[in-house]
Amino acid sequence: MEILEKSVKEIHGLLKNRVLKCRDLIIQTYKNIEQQEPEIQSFISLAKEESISRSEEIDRLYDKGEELPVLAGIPIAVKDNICIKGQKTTCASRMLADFVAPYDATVTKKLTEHYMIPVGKLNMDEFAMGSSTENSVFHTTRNPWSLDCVPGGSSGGSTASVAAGQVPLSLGSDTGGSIRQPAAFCGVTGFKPTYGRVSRYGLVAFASSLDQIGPVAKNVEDISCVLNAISGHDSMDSTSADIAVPDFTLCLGKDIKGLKIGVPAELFGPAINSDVRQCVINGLELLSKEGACWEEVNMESFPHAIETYYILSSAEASANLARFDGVKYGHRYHNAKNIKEMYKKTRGSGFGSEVKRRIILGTYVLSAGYYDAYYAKAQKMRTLFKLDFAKAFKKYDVLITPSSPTTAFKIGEKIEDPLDMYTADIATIPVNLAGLPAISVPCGFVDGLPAGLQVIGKAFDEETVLKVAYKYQQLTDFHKKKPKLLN
Amino acid sequence: MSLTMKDLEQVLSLANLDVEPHEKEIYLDQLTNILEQMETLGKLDLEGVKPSAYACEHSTFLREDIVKQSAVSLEKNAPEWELNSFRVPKILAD
Repeated sequence: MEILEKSVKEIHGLLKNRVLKCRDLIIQTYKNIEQQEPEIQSFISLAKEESISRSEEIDRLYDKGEELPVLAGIPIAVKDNICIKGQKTTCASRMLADFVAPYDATVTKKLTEHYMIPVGKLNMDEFAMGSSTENSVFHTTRNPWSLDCVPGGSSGGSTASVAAGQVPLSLGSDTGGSIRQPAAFCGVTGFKPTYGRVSRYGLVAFASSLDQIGPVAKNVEDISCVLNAISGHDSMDSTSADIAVPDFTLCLGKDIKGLKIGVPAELFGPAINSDVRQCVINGLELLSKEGACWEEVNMESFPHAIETYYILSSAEASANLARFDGVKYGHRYHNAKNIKEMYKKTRGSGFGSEVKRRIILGTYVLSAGYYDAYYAKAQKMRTLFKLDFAKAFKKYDVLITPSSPTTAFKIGEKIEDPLDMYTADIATIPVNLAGLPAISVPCGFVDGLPAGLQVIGKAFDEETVLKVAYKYQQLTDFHKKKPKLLN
Repeated sequence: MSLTMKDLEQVLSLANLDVEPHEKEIYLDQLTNILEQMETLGKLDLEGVKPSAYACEHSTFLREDIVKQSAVSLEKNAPEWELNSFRVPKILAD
């Protein structure tokens, strides 16, 4: 267990100096997974044999004295909406329960190029739609800090697995907060890069204008290492940005004297739990002592985040999920008399209730007579979100907010009330609507459950976000706390 | 602008989605609440605001239509496969 508590750079040092064999690291990783899995249920599938054989290859390279990247031999787990060739990619849906990915996602290729070892695929809300990981067709992942609470979502497996010490690193995807909100709930560090920074090729699309892949880890330094590996232009994703990728570890440790922080008043009001709010304010005060200054800023678009996001994301989802029709791959209803019935019954029996709800909502807002009232208006609102951020970033270097209005809620508490569930994302959604980078770092505990602080940066200025978050983790030890089940 | 059962059935047909009768009642109720929340946008004056299809400011690009990857096997994931084709139920009526 102790090995996986070390940072990526520490593990790399042990592997490089041959104090630790990669094979032993991987065997230990599976022991941790197997030990915690009955309670946490972070995973959908494991790739034990392939991983052990890969670890042996990497040991041979280290034994030969080859210079390998810092991530070489480090285990990572991958959200089950990211393709790994030859492995199942289920999206936690009955629709894709037996789908075997015929190609690697670009991020998967990059992990391989860095000699990383993807040990398994992680649980999630079906097709990444949800905020609790209860919408998985397989099982509900539990929060390692309190087993009767949700881990957040949709990347709940990605954050619970890191919090439970099953793996040191994971990948998630973030469409409206799906990395940052569960990172806050599970007391780990989760990062959503700028839209376009990381290729989405091989990520099963939910809402293409918002989706972004990002890393989850125990600390900001490890996040930076993974970000270095997965970032960069990709000709296979037409929205991928052809912008130079810096070394994200070089900004860590730089001072924050004179840093200007904007604090959106709309995310410090009554919708935010007062104890969570206090944790974030304590964080701001710590950063002030290091020479940063902060003041409130009004972001007038923020109160309309839920409406704007759920119209746009559901509209895009209804189009993206039209491909699941039982013809080419995935689940099929076999007793249909004609093709129309086959489509309808395949989709009716293959999708879970939240996915169906969003397809219905998305189809409705795109349909004749309603398009202007809903979709066109939401697209205009997105412009106002962008303008609000652009104005704020003329004055401030970063914005800081809570990552989530509350700490983790109980399993079953919100599942019957979709609108209540949607409010779990009020702090994270605006960031996706503007395509910005943002991180969630642990910032305290409320009744034993972790709270998260979100740092939001300018587009493609991940370095300032990481610099601030790293400084915060140097000043605090919340990210080093472990759930009781690991003690 | 409230959602009626007729609207819901029209949308289910457009989306090629079959749901059980008892589910329709639940969806109608939930979607009515959701749409009520969405309608707050309707009250905003957004005249003159340009719509954004994407958040990003960087431009998207096209690439040459050249096959770079070897063809993947379609058969492996196909629900039904015959004569190197996907087999589907009858499309034209008798």
